[in-house]
Amino acid sequence: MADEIEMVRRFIDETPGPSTDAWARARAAIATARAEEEPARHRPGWLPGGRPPGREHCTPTGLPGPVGTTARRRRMLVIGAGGAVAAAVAGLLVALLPGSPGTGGPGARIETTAFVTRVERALSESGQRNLIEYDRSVYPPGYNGEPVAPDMIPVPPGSGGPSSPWSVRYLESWSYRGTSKVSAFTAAGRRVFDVRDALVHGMSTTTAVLYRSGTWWRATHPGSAANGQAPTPCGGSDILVGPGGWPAFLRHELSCGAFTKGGRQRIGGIDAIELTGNGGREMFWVNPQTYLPVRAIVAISAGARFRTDFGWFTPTQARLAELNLRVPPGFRQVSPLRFRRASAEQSSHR
Amino acid sequence: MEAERPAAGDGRIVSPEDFEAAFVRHFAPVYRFIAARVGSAVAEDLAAETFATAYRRRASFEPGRGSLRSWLYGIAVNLVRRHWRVEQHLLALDARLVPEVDLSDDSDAADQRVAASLLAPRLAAALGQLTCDQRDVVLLYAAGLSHEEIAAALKIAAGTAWSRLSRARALLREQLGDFDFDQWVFDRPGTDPARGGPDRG
Repeated sequence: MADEIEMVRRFIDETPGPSTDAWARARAAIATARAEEEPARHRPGWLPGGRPPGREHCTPTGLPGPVGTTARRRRMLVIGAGGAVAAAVAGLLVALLPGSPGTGGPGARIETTAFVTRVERALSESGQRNLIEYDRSVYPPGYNGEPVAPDMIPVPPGSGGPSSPWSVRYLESWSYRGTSKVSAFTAAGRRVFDVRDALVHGMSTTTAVLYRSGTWWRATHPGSAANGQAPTPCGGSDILVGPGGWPAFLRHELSCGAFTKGGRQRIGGIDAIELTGNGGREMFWVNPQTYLPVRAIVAISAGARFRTDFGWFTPTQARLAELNLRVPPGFRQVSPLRFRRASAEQSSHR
Repeated sequence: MEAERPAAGDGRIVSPEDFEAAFVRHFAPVYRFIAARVGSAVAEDLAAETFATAYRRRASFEPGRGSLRSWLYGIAVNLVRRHWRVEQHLLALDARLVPEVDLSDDSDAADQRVAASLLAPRLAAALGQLTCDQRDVVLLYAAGLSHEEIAAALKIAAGTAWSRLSRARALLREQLGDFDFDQWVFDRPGTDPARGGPDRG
């Protein structure tokens, strides 16, 4: 005979059991907890053999450096200054300087671990499910940018220099559930390019509008999960903000460990907590209420840094409209490859 | 009710193998308990965090104070409480559900499914009226924990667990209105909830 407890029991039994993904996620969480107990050199994300995260060792074998590494990336957006690949967002590449991980006492490490775990959860797929993310990255003067189609080897960056009217000074991006759009602007606010990436049924479609040349292109290729791990190894000599956008990139970086929790700083009215990692080259400030980042500063070369400010919003029609990309009338469609060659030619003749 | 046995040796969880055995045995029920409260999306994270937390604190588990199961559920309950608003929201949604029933299937199994789907909105509404503490004891009891295990999981006295459960059950019956539990028999032929409730004829 069924009483109210039997009803509740059936209510629970109606709930589907854990998926394969749920099991995997739990095992990963346990593995992380286990790794925390082991010596730091064995932390997940470090190279096999317990090698500390020396950046030069993590560069894929046989590749000459950041530009060579770039050749292996998909959906890249290369920002360059004076021939050196420098930074990337939603497919931007960041070249970092070598250094050593931060240190701290056991108590500080435990506190940092707990804090980082909360930040990682806030940045997880489920944590992001009902959030639309906005970020604005500001670069030092003199950076050029151009979107590069998937699976293509990017040319060395242009030589526009600080005086180029097309120098990218800041990027704005919006992302929501696998769709993202990045827009690049000059210091004067002139639009340089827009790139939209959408993941539909496992296929990723990238559309780019290039205002400098009055052209646009589209490329489709097998996509990866929107919040999948960024492809860069921990402590690599470069960092790619991949298909999952900033949330996936930040989670990836945090999962590498070696972050230390610092003091507080007032940012945009928020008493944010500082996290420093990668030998001080990456600094994140996190909202202690939501555990979501409000700012990141990443060193991209000696003395040069770019700053990214984040906004995390509930999706509204107006905000979702920011993800739309419209090709202006009269723009000519080109293939990504032809555009790349044209850009190289333009750069070499400038 | 299934008796809880120690994971290994004297019941303490010392080695990764001990923990793996506990994980394999308890993950699915703990996940289901969480998912029933906060939905599968949040449950994946919370269930993972439950076992990661358990691993970190495994040295603090003392079999003399309660079963392994009660200890794990205790961690889960603490995590779920942080998502109280999500739970309330889901219960409110469930309470508004319009069940889809297939009246063409006359099998007993179909009867049970129909009964469950018809009752789910009412039950969700009733659970939503309970306090967080009351809901904890009801759901833990429904998950198969004894009074003693509930007490251990919630770190309350066994008497408190018992009285809290009694009160919660009374409130549930009150919230479920004139539902006649004595007449609602899932396994007895002749019960036809899809056609207007239990057959009282």
